[in-house]
Amino acid sequence: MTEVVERMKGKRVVRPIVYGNTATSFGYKRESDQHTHQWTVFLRTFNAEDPTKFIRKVQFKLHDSYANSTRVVEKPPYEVVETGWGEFEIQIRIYFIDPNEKPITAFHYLRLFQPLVTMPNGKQQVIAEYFDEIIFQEPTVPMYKALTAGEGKKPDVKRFHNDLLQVCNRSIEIGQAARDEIAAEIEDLREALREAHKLMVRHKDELEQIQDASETISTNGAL
Amino acid sequence: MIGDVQSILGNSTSDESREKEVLRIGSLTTLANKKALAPARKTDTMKKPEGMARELYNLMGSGDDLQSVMPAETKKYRNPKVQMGFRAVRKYKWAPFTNEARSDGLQLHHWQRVDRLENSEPYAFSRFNKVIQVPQFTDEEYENYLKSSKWSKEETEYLFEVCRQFDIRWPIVVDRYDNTRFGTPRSMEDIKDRFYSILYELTQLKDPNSQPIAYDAEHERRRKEQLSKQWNRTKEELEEEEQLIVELRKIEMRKKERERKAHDLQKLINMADAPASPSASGSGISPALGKKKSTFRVKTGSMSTNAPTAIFNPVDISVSALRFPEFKSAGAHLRSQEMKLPTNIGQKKLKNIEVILEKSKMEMNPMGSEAIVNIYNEFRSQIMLLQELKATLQTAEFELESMRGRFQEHGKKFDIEPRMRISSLSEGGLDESMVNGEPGNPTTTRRLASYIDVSTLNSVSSLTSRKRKTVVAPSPMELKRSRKL
Repeated sequence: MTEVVERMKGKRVVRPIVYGNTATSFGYKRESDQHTHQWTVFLRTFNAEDPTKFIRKVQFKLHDSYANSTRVVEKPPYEVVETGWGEFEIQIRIYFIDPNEKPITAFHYLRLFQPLVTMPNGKQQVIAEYFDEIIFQEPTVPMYKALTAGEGKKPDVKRFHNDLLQVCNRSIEIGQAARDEIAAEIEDLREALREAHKLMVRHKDELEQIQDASETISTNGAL
Repeated sequence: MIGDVQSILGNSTSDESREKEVLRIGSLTTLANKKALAPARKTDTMKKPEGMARELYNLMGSGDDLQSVMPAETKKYRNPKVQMGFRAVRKYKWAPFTNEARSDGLQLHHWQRVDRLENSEPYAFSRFNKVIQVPQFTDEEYENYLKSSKWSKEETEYLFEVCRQFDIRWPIVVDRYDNTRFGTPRSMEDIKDRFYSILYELTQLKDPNSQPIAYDAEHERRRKEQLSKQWNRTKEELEEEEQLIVELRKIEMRKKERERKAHDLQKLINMADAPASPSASGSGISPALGKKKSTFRVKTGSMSTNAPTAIFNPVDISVSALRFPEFKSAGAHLRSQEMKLPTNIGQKKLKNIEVILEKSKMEMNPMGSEAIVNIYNEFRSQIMLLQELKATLQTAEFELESMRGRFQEHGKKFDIEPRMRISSLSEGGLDESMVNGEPGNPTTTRRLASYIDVSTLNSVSSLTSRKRKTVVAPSPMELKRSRKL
């Protein structure tokens, strides 16, 4: 079956998403299976939009020790609630409504102990949220239609514990500062190197002249 | 023997087995014994019909229970009295007939239906007697057109007569042709050549527009020679030929392979010649930085004239930019995937990147927004550049130091500026007081550079630089190699 997939040439659609997990401790070790935490791994769209418009299903691949370690969620919320005692990497595979658009895989390292936050009701909870963007490079025609249909939605800030945009901005600020710092150092070292080279060239000639004049050096002839 | 077959067929009555025993015990059984046994055998075994599968025959059992395979009804098969025809039998008569194809008037007889005797048709088989019309020529025609230096008129006439006699069946014509009569032996090609050339002339005379008749005797001779040669090849020659064909195939395959390789190489060369793609020259580096690099390189070009004599060329730094994944083809991907470090990056570099990120208070796995990805990728490429610069400067420092040492031997000295000193840089960078804007001093505290570990790079280059004191100036190739290390 060689079906020609029609794609939107030169188009690029970006859909911000957030994935991560929340976790709460039992406060004790469960006798039956030694589990200590209940956790929820999730994937959401960052904007307040209907994810089913472009997502067909989400597959969470848990640690092999879980029964049915591959969990498929067909409808939002794309979540898996489980209990456990350890952290591991969860593979989140997102399938799109158009099967011609290959699924993409995100990896989330399940957090059970950090970062711990205190909720308004006083309870403590681990919340790890990770902002990311799905970039559709030249999406297929049906995919493009589905994506553009839900465009222009505002971020749904209330759904997330962290102000993710602010977290991003902070990262950018730190990054910019670091970049400036390193750029200055690069310039510094480069200049030093340039001068060192000049010095070397100058003194090399001088050294040769001295050596020619003295004509006593035999071992260091090359220099 | 038959006993064995029967045992294979599973037909072993008690009678049979006893008999077998007898046969086995006395391998040289008497003839009388055999004869006595023979009729008994016949009665209780049915011979396997020819063509019947052995498996099927076995299913029939010992042969005395054939009821199961007997057809139950036979009536339906056919009517025992078959009505062959409805008319009365016709009468035939032994009668003489004339064969129109014959010219000698031989009288023969055959059976013929009586009712057809009266109005007799011509003999049915006479129409199969085809006579080929061999053309005639007159004396005049012969004189004017058909003369040949090799053939006399008599022989030509004789040839046509033989052809007519045997209906131009060439092998017979050649066989019957009397070579002794005119003194010159004629081959089939000679005969055909003469015959067809005359035929050609005659048809051309009759109708100049007719299809010309062509016979190439020379070609025919060569063809037959080839065929006979091919036929007469010995076994050895055949084998040799086959071997040669195999060899030829091998050679052709090798040739193709070579051509393919040459083609690939050409492609590779073309690719190398083509302007490097942005990914090759470090996508993460900002345009400004790239520009600086290029000016840097121009300078390298002018300096490289010193290279053969220079002990060290610090300006020639090869910065291997980090290659981050690029998603140019159609499809979906995550922004965070664009931040993945290439897998072929060395442990040392990886460690340096980690340390610098940590010292810059940057996350190892930041969020995947476009601005962050750009900054991170650029920053990590810069770390690589800084590492390279630090390593080079360290080597330069060692070189200068050794040079100064030799200067001192001659009672001279020169100063190495503080900014050229990098080996003494302690972790955390320089004291702020060092960066006072005076010429010759560093312009930064070199905080990040201080965390970069160039120990292996340094130890190797310093080792080689020390070596160089005793060894004659190394070739540029060696220099390059040491720098790579």
